[in-house]
Amino acid sequence: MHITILQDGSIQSSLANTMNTLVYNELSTFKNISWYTASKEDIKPCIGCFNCWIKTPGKCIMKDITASINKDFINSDLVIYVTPLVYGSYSPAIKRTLDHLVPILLPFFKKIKNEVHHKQRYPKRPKLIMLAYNEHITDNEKETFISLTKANALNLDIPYPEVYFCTNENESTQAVNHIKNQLIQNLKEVK
Amino acid sequence: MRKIAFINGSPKTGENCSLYLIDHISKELGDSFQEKLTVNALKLLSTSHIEQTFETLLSSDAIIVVFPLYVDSLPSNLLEVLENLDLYKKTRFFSNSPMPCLYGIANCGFIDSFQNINALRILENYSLSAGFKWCGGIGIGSGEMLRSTKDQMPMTSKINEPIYKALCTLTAHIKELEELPSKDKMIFGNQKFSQRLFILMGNLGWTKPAKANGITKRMLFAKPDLQ
Repeated sequence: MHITILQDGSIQSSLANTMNTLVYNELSTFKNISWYTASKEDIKPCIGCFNCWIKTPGKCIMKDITASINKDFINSDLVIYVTPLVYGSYSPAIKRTLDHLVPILLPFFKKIKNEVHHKQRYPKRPKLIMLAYNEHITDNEKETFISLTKANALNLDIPYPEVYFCTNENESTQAVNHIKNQLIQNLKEVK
Repeated sequence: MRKIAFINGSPKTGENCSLYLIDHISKELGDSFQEKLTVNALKLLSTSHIEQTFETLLSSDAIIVVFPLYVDSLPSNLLEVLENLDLYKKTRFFSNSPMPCLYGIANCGFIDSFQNINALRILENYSLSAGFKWCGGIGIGSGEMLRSTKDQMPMTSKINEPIYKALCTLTAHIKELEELPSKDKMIFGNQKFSQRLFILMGNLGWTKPAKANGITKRMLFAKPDLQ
């Protein structure tokens, strides 16, 4: 099983350190993991030029860490986003990596659940897990983020992601352990 | 003297739908606001006088955030600017000052304008967190088609009627600094196309610009990183 884990390296807070350390300590024991720490400074925003569709199909013309992230994304069985929850959205650094996912789609349209979306470039897409953390999370922000991740899933034509919200160390530990146990179970079933 | 500020969240260089919508609203507002400012979010991230711009934004009566939908939400550059403005406001601004009214205009490439809903909800959450007065937003479908066909199908044409009406309602309420009267303070407007026709037209539009780059139709389906 190939797993890709993306964390936000831009946020300096006690909870961010706790979450990133927990995820690393508990999940790095699994084999075949690709780790990424996204930072706003290292990734330029997607400028919507569509060259990844009509000039270099499947590849962004900007050369940064997102090229490698996209390669791992389409070859992974599971991608885990560990993101600060910002107003019910991903953090700007994590959002940079998502904005750069455009090349994994085709420019052509199709209908999914009565909505227009892009066709998929690759036959296989990963399952997604979202670990969203912030010391203060409102009910509206939770609702927005769940709705947002469902919309993302429709765009990628995959099942709705698992979403965990963590506002303190205890919730973070529970969420990471739950994911770890699920992975252990999945690996047993595969064997 | 009333002040209005537009934040253009489009990271695109050159022409973009957000700028087209800002120009339209700005004209429709006439002289309702004596001072008008348009800020480009991407450029603002690399400017040295960001605090000066933030002061101007915070002293406005209304802030209009206009942006394209990126992965069902706000483009990262816009999210970063809004977060920085929130942090700046919390550390510098006097809490007893009247807060600007905040309006949003999201446009997506797809014809389904309701796909903008999560982006508008994020803006609403942002307003609550940062202490702005959330007055609502509109979601527009087929934004890129709206801009690229503006000479053949102007905003007032029959095909753009739902979008034009949404913009008229928004403009009228911005003039009065009022909340949008609709459910959840959101209005959605599409061009009068069927999804089927939109898909047909959209799918035809990629082969020609690709060919100009030496890319055949078959090459458009490349899977470069598959292992």
